[in-house]
Amino acid sequence: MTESAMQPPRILELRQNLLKKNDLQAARLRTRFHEAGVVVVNLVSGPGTGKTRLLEETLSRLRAASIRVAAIVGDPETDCDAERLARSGAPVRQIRTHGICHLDAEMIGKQLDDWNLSELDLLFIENVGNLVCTTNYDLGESLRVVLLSVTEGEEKPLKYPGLFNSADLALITKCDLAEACECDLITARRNLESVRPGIPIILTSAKTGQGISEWVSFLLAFRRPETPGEPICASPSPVN
Amino acid sequence: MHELALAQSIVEQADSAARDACASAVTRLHVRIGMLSGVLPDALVNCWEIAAFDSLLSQSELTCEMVPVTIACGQCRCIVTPDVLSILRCPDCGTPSNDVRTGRELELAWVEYQ
Repeated sequence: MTESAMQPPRILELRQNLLKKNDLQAARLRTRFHEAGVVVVNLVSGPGTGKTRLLEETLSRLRAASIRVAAIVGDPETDCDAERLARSGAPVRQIRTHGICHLDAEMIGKQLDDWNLSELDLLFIENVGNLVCTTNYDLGESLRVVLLSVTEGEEKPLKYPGLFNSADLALITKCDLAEACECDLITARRNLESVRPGIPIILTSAKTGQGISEWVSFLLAFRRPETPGEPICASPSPVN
Repeated sequence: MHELALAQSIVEQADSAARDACASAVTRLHVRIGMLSGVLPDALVNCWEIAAFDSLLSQSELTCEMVPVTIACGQCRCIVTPDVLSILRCPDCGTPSNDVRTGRELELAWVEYQ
């Protein structure tokens, strides 16, 4: 019998977060964003909910109001979304994850190297379209916004409680199609409130402009905290 | 979810902790997974052998514990478990609460080593 086999097993209590590496990197990013005075918005949802379309409209509106904006967009492949967003005139970067189903803090950090963050008011991160995997990855954002489109069905929040619960704000998108899709907006709203009690909800349509002013006002309320050193808002659902 | 990547992260952290403790091998380890985390324990266990290959954990057994969602009810002033995972309200008085106390965990709880 070997010496090690004769020794009784020992237990080591760790209680470590499995995403410790990401959380540390996200905390560094959050400090960096805060010091630069930039509000970072992480847009999460399933694929096809209209994140890019909403962001096109949002970037254009904010730029027209002389708000300094930029965007980072993640997709498994292609630069299609970055090309669309860049038409607004805002600086845009595409992250190709090559199959990875979410963005992480390290991917974001790598995009920031030659960006002067203090010249930005708002930085949008359009996450990979995924209703599960994006939940647990903190990107150092100030605000996590979840999109629910009327084309998905009202029950999505109940099916994917983790992601919807982690959000600070919900946008119901493509509301111009609600009737055609037979989407009951009252039920959609109730389901969002069930899974994340107290969540602010804005009904939007990037096509007709419905709710966009309200959304932009919400964003501007987060811009540049009046008291330096105070957190911009509660960080989204830290895991442990 | 991305259970293989998570399994690799567990191996990395457990291997590092075991080496710090001068262990020759990790025999068992235990993770706690919150019901809101979206992580599937079966998928994690299924890819364990691949993730643990060629490490101090190669012969180890991974066990997973699901942590239920609990919320603080402001009305009843106690910690309660909602009847339904996606409807965060007090089962006793029906008051909604987003004061989630457990259920988001992704935690490496302990390792057993020799």
